[in-house]
Order: sequence, then C-alpha cells, then structure tokens
Amino acid sequence: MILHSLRLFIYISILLHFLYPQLSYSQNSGSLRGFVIDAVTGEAVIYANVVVKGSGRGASTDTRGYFYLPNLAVGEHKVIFSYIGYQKRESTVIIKEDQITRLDIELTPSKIILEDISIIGERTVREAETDLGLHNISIQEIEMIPTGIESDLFRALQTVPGVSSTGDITAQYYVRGGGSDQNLVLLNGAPVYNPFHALGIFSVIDPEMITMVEFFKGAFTPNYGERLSSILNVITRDGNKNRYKSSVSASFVSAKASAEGPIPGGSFIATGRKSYFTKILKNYLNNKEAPFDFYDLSYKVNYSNHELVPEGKFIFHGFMSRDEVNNNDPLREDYWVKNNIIGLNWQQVWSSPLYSVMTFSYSGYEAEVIPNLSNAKPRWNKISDITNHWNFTYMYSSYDELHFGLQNTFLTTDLELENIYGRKASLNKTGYQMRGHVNYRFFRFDKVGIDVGVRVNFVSISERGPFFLEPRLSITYKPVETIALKAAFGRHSQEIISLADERELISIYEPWTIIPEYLAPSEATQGSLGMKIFLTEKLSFDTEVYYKKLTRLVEVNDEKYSKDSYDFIHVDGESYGLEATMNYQTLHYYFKTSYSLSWSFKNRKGETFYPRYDSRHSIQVLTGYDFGGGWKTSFSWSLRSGMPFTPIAGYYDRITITPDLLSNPFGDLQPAILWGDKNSSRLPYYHRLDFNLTYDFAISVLDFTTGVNIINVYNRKNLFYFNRNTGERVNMLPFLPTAFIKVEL
Amino acid sequence: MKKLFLLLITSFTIIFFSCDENFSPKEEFKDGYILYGIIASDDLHNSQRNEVYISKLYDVDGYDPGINVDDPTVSGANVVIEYRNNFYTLTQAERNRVDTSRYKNKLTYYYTNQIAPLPNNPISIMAQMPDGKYISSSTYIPDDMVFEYSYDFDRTGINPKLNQFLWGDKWIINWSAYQADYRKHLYFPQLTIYYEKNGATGVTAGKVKIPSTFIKRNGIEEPYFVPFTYGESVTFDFEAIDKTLNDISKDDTAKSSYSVGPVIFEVIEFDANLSSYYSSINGSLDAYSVSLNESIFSNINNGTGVFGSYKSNKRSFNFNSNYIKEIGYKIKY
Repeated sequence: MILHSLRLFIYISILLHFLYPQLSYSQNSGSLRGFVIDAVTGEAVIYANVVVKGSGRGASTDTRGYFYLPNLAVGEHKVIFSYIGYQKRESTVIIKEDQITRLDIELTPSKIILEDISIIGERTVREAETDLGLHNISIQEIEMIPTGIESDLFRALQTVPGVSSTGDITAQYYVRGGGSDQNLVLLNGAPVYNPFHALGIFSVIDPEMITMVEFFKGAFTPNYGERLSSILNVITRDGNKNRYKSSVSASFVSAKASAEGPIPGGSFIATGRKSYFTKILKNYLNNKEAPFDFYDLSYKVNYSNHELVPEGKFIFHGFMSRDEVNNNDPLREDYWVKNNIIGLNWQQVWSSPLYSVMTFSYSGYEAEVIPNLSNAKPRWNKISDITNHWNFTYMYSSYDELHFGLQNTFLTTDLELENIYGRKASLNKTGYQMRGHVNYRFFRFDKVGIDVGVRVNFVSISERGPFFLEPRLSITYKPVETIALKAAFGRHSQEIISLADERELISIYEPWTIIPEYLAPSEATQGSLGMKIFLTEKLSFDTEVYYKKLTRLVEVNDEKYSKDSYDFIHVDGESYGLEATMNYQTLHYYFKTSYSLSWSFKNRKGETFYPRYDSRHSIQVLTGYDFGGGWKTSFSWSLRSGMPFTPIAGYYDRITITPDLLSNPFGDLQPAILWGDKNSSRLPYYHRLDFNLTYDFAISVLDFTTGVNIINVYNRKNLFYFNRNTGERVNMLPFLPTAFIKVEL
Repeated sequence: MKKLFLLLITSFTIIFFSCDENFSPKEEFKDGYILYGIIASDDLHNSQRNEVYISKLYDVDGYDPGINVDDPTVSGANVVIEYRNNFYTLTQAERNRVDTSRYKNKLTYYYTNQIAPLPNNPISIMAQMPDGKYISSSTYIPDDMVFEYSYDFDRTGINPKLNQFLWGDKWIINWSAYQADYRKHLYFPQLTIYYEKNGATGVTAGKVKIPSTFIKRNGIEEPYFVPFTYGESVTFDFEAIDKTLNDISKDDTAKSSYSVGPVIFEVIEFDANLSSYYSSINGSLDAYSVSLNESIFSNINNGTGVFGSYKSNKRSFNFNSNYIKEIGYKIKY
C-alpha cells in the first residue's frame, strides 16, 4: 500500500518535472507571498484581499491566511490588504528579479465595517474562481441565525439554498436530493461520523471554535470525495497568539468554557461544553422526556519553529464528544454515542512557489443501544478511521495552479444490530483505500477560470470497488466585470454508508458500515450551471441550476422479515432544481433571501417515489440590524412545501397474536391503518419566524454578551407527523423563548 | 432603513400569525379484503378446530378507527382449505364477542374440525368473496422438536436447591427444530406450576408461571418473563423457581393446605409467516425513535392479513418430593 503511494508520488513528480519549463519566471519579474494575520489574536485572516495598487493584480488568502502573487514587475509596489471587519492597510514592497519576496501583514479589527473595501475587493479578486457550489459560512452568519438552544452550524446550513431538513427537531440536513449519509463533515481534515448531540437536535461542533466553514453542495473539487452530495469542511481557530483569554457561557441546556493564548512558537485553544439541564429538549420530542447527558471537548495547538523547520507550521488538534441516555430502569433502554478525533497537520511553504499540507488523523466513533430488558433492539457500531492526506499546490507565474495529492485510509467498521423484526445482523469489515487527485486551475486568463482534474481510485475499501476515475470540471467566465457565469461537472462515489431508515423521523443514531460485499458502491454524476451578478456594490445575486443522477444507493430493506433476507438493497435516485440567492448589505443592515425549486426521486424495485426530504419550494429570509451601542437583532423566516408522507389508505381490524390468545385469536380485534403508496402525499406548507436579540456590554475587565431567542414567533403549528397509533397530530416546535449569557475575560 | 426593517418583520408576523389549515393524511378510499387464518397443531398430532376470519377495509370520519361501529366482517364467503390433497370447505359460524365496545353483533367466522395437522406439511387456503373476488395464501406447519436440559430432573423431580458450583444457578432448556426455515420461527417458552389449595370453602385449583428471573426496578423486585425468543433456548433461575413456589403460600401459614402438582414446560412455535406477522406488529427499535409508518407482514394474495400455523410442544415434570415437603406443601401427582 505504501508502495502504491510512493509510486503515485513519483508519477506526479515526473509530471511536475515535464511541466517545469512553464515554472520559470518571466524576465524582469518576481513574486510576492506571505501571510495575513489578525493583529489582535494572531490568527490567520481567511479570504483577505491582497491587491497590488495600479497593477490590477490581486489574490486572496487561503484558509491559512497565505497568499501568493506571481509575475509582478520588478520594482516598488504598493500593496493593499483588506477584509470585512478589518482596517484597510497599505504596504510598500520591493520586488526583485526572479525572487520571491516575503511579506507578512497584520490587519487590525475594526469596530466599523468598511463598506467600500470588502465588496469591491471581492468582486475583482474572487469572482474568477471556479467555485460553483461552494458556500463559505462565517461564524458571524452562524451566530446571526436565531436558535432555540445553542448556536448551531447545521442550523445555519439549512438556510443555504439546496439544503433541506425534515423538521425542527433534527439538525440533519439533505443536500440537493441526497440522503443524510451522503454529507461528509470534516473537522480540521478529519471525518466526524456522528456530528450530533441529543438525537440530532444540534451539532457537536461548538461554533465558537470555528474560524472557517467551506460547504460544497455539489461537483466538489478533486481533493474531496468519499461522499455523493456535500462536503462540510470546518477549520477551527488557532487560538489567540498575543494574549491569554478565557470565557464562560451558559444556555438553558449547557455550560461552556474556553481558554486560549500564546505558547512559545504558537498558540493554543481549548473549549468544552457540558449539559446540565436537558428538560427543555422535551419540546423537541413531543414532550417525551429523555435523560440526555452530553459533553464535547475541542482543542488545538499550533507550533512553528523556523530554525527547525523553516516556513513550516504544525497543528495538533483533537475533539471528543459523548452523548448518553441513562434511564436507570431495567425495563427501559439506554444508549450512548461518542466521537474521538486526534489529528496532526503539517503545513509547509517550500522555497519554490509550492506549498503542501500533510494531514494525519484518527477518527473513532462508537455507539450502542443497550436494550436492558425492554423491547428495544440492541445495536452497536464502532468505526476506526485512520487517514493521511498529502496535498500539494504549485502556483505558476501565469497564476495557474497545480494541485495534487494522495489519500490513504485504513477503515474498520463493526456493526451488530437487530432490526425492527428482531432479526440479527453482524457486519464487521476492514478496508484500505488509496485515492489520488490531480487538478489544474487555469487562472491565466482575465475572463475565464478553469479547474480540470480527476480523482483516482487506486485501492477500494469495499469488495466491489467503484469506477476508477472520477473526473471533475469547473469553469467560470466573466463577460463583464460584474457578472460571472459558471459551470461544473463531477462524478463521485461512496463506499461507506449509514443505515438510515427513511421511515424513522427521529433516530437514536444511524450506524455506519462499509458497503457489504453483496452490494456495489453508490455513485453520483452531477452537473450545474450558475451565474453571479453584482447589481450594485451592496446588492448581489446568485443563481444555480443542477442535475444529479444517483445510482446504487444503499437503503435498509424494510421487508426483511427473516434472517435469510439481505439487510440492505440498492435503489437509484435523481434530483434537479434551481436555486437563487440575493444578498444586500449596508453598514448596519443585512438582508439575505434565497429560493430553491427542486425535485428528488428514488426508484426501488421499479417503484418511483419521492424521498422524505423532497421539498418542491423553499424560501429563506435572513435579516439583521445593528442598532449600535451593543444592541443587535436578527430575524429568520423560512417557508417550504411539505414533506412527502405515506397516506392512510383505510382502516382494518387486526388480530393480536400472543400465546395466551391463540385459543380465541379473533377475540382481540384492534383497529389498524392500511398504508397507501409510499410517500405519495404531501404535508402542508411549513413556515416559521425566529427572532434573536443580543446586547454586548462590559463591566470592568469582563465582556458580557446576553440575549434572547424566540423560535416560532407567531406559533405556527407546523405539522411534523400523525401518530400512527393514536391518530394524534404532532406538531413541530411551538413558540419557544430562550436566553443565554456569555462572559469573556 | 430601520423603518423598512421593522415593516418587513411586522408584515411577516401579521400575515402568518397562528395560521393553520385543514389537512388530511388520507388518500382516496378503495375497497379491500383482510383474511386471518391460524392453523393450530400440537405434538400429539390431534385434530384441531381451525378458524378463519375475513373482513373488509373501512374508513371513518377523522383519524381514530376506534370510532367505527359498522362491523366490517365478511359473511357469505366460500372458504376452502387444501391439506394433503384433500379439500375442506369451512363452515360459517357465529360467537359472542369478547369485546363489544365497538360491534354489538356476534362475530362471524369460518371453521373446520376435520384437519389433524401433521408436522412439516404444507397447507393452503382460498376464499371467494361475495362479490366474486378471490383471496388466497399458504403456509407450512412447524415440525416436531427435541428438548435438552442442563440438568435432567426426569428421575429426581425438580429441585432448585442444587449445588450451584456443579450445576450453575440456572436451569437451561434447549430445543432443536429440524424444519428448513426454523431460523425464521418464533418460540414462546413458559414454565407453569399447577397446584391446589384446600381451604374452608373446598379445594381450589391454581397455576402460576415461573419467571425467567427477578429484576429490581426502582428498588422493587419484579418477575421477568421471556416474551419470546428467536433462539432455541430459555433459562430459568433456580432462585426464581424456588421463590415462585414459595410465593404461592405467601402470607399464609397453613402451608400444608397446598398440594403441588406437575410443572409443565411448553414451547409454542410459530411458523415463518406467523412469526413475521408477530414481529412486524410488535417490533419497535426503541422508545425514542419515531417511525412514520410500518411495514406489516402479509402473505395474503389480493388482500391483507396472515395465514399461518403454530405448534404447541409440552413436557411435564414433577417437583422433588423432599423439596416440596421442606416447604411444607403436599404432593399431588
């Protein structure tokens, strides 16, 4: 396996060698590179704009705050650094012939948003990027969304067009007609297999740890794979490099503490969250109390020693979480779920315009339902995922970029389960996967950006491995300065699945397994077209259309009544739709609205039906206002057409067989429902208005943030489901006010 | 801008305040038939009274089918069972209902006494409805089984005061089934003590089931009975046997007025169809998962319901006479 990796690495090196003639610099030119960091915290400023004044040349920083500007004329230049929420800074630099000049810049955060720099800078620099389907979500955006319990990344995702959910209760999300297990969540490059607390009510990732979120909802770049529908790449903060800082906060459910500060050669940050009162969660469970107990702990240490490793940076990070329901009753079931992630990243800027990121991570996940003496079915699931990535980026003087890399994954999944009919299954699988990727980004043209590449599957993790090549293509064309037309295409495969039973509206957890040997891996082919327009400097408009063909999806066989039947079967799927977003932002006011029109289908044994998360129309409105003096407010309103459901075809009298009743089996006739065709009807429209008000103030050295949230302001009775046993209508969240307070030192 | 912002929010609130709409989770109603037929058999291979119940699909106003008072039973159907190349036409009959809360009339059903089901034999049913529509099904009668015990009490009689270092603290009973699809079968084991109490008003007979074990729940000891098993084994704590036998005369000092009879171990075996049906109506993953709809097993062609069979397998034991006398009871065999 290692030989495979080395061999591929050699091939890519040879390829690079043949391309080398293009790497030489133009005569009388040099390059500029460096890092943009926050002057207060010392953390990287991501996507900051770097513009060489008067030259029309510019770049933006990446997730490490790194930028590279090749092919600049020799001589003195003025370079402008800017980003939303920071004071603009201008610096003079001298470019020398055939040399890379290093310039690191600190940007000072500004209390006043500088309107004029951000949008213009973004327009000139970012538009040519081949980023169709990519959404960058800021921590401010997450915090702006009113929330019932905790600020939540996944709730923020649900405001992105093309992302749907099946209800207020769960933070589970579905992207462009794909199932929930088709979404990969990466935390500092390591996969998170169970990113939810408390039956999926909110996510395990504390938003305060986050510095950057990349969300790909289709046709993602070749360095990403392993899932069919979306990639959520979460990068956590490095911690304050300049001073020690700590904070505590409390919501209705949990208490949170964090600490961060400098260390020799770097910084650290650690946050922890622990539940202490979970009775409020019964609002999410139709007033059914569950003794939830959970915690999560996240930490990150970064270290640089330029004498030891020049231009290198090492990041050690970890994350652990655990959820428990312990009823202390032998006739009731208990369960627990835990995640444990450890990772090491090595980021290196080489002497040539090459940088690399090497990632080693372990992601462990384990969950168990302990039935005790209840009728619950025992289930146990364990995953060990050891992955390393080697990703390289070479930046040419023409502004083109070559990306290539390797991924090795050792994966073990153990699964013991008993299905609803009492049939037991055991799936214990181990596999090794090696995938490589290479893509070339053409940024040499003024009006066109092209990203063409392929993800190569050298060794499959499942017995019936997927197709060998996954081509990816993304094109951007700018006919005029304020309009960008974009197109993307990609094929994706997936070899690990979760056992999501679509009939389950709420699940304790969804266990994962490598696709069993009797099934082939799932595949998706998708294409999209898009357009981005800046109508004014404050108003922008985005639209995308997409088509996705899903083949060989894996689903639970809900007609498995005997041990001899397979646990899982193949189904096919298809989805297409249109998404549009409008953004308007001024000094104190923010308005974002999006509309999504979509169709999703599945085909099972010749029967075509809508999956439960299919939603024809969806509108999201998010608006916020900064009153000044520390007062901020925001509202979010969402509307979507109802979820599909299986209607009632009629009623009949059903016999209840027990050994005691066998002498008179028809003595106990109980009325029952006969169900119609699967998901052939629709629930009513869903809509909800949420409200958020926060106030920041300081007392002595303590900074306070307090606020209130109101979920479902006008108490809309959104239908969740009808209880199949009682006929009772169960609604989603009612009017629900909550409050929080946070103290920072 | 502030006014625009407030106007926007107020508009949303006014437009959608507490609005609700009528919604029905039903689709257009269509007729359908339901058949339940359960073939009984035992390890003595006696003739059994086998019964079939046929009804129609119905609709109600609202979503509570419990309000239906129109009996959906189908009478006048022609029901035929085919068994070992013989055809048995079932007789329509009526009996009083156990539950008269919904239907006041008698229950109409179909029966035959003529079949003595033998193990491991196929059996089929076909019913012609009054409107001419046919529904049908078939199943297999469970095979005989052989028992094995962790301690053979046949000669000594059951004595739970065994040396636990030698024999453990549980009585384990295993059985072997030979039918091809026995792994699809459900087994309902139970151990029952039969006894008599000689009191001032005469002799009263009683029986009590022995739990598999006793568990503590909220500090209170409760019996735990194995509801069913897919495996071919069941255990009974010796302590549970002893406690159950002693509890027969709990709070009664006149121990000698009790006469203890046999202990019957019975396993009722459901065939594959009946097992699947039982599993599908009793299954749930856990108390927290919410399932939207259910997939109820049916093996009725052109209808819904189940046609299955079961077999009762019994073994009789006596208690050890010395053990019974130590408690103060008498023996009645």
